[in-house]
Amino acid sequence: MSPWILKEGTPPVILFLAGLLIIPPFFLQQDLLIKGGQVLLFAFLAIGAGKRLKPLYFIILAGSITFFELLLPVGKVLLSVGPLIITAGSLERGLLKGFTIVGLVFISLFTIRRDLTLPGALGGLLGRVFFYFELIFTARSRVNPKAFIASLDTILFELHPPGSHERGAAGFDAPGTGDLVGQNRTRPAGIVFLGGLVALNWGLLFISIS
Amino acid sequence: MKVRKDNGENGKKCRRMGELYEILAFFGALCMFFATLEYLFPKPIPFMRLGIANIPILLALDIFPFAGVMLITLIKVLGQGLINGTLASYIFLFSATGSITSALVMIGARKLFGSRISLVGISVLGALASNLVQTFFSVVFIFGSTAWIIIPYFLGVGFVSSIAVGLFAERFARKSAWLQSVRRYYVPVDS
Repeated sequence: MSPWILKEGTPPVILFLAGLLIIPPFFLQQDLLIKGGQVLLFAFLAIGAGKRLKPLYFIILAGSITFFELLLPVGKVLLSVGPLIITAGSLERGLLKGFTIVGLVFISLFTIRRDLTLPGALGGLLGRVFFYFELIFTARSRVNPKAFIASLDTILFELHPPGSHERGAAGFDAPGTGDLVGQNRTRPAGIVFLGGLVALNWGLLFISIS
Repeated sequence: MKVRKDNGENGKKCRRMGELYEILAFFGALCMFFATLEYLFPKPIPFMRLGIANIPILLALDIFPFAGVMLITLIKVLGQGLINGTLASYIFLFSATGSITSALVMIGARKLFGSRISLVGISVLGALASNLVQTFFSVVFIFGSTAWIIIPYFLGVGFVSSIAVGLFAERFARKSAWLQSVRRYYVPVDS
């Protein structure tokens, strides 16, 4: 898959809507193997969207959820490790829960881009927040750990001297009210790809392989 | 939101509202910057946070009225969701409920105790509220009743990190010339 489909081929708001449409069938999926496959697909898409994944973090996340489920034994006993009894029911339930949570994070990672603009006044405010965030982030290398507060103070005075900024002043454009269409052009391949992805996830609800 | 220097002239008031809008956005951006720093720290348990993104909220308590602090908190939560890409996940739900509860408790503590409570005390109360709510949610939605086992660990880590966060905020509030000038300029009428 070309990463441009998730980066430039679709407006961020369309990508976000696709994510919202994928969540219900993924959430409702009860087949462990299919759900595992969906998680791998979403991880692949998240990487394709340019996100850096920390596999260990997600393994610990899914593992800890499964472990807590194992503490409540349900169904056939598979294994007994000291006081811990591993049962088929609790293992399956734990893995399903773990996959669900990890999968939701992956969906979020590939469907939410930084340039997503939410509509309304709050969306406009968020636009200003991201403007300042980029300024602060760019200046971070100038923070001196030995004189942390003093150096931070200097940067803050430079970036936002109190009372000196008025809306419409140079470099501080009036915030927008949000843009539902987004800045990227809608490309047919991107829409077809996302439509197929949504249809695939809904279609998988009617298949069972476990 | 009313500001102290409003002299009744509509134009001036609108300009000040615009400036207040900008400083709110700036504090929101500071929250997101600290959240990005926090993301770099390894987490032994998912959902665990050190809370350094709360530093701007602690500093905002003495500058903005209730609505302003809550708006910064909302910006922090949404911004974190967008930056970390967790807006459509359980983590966002955890983060939102924890942050909003924490902000409410911190605002309440400041209103109730005024200058008799330090930023360290406020930070500890906020962390306690956030951790309790997040533990409750993890019990109800994810881990089940066995999650109560992790409560002492959660609260212990939250307690220690909130003291560190509060100490930093207290020191910054005392030493920062920028923050003092922001306070002079934007302190609300109804504080």
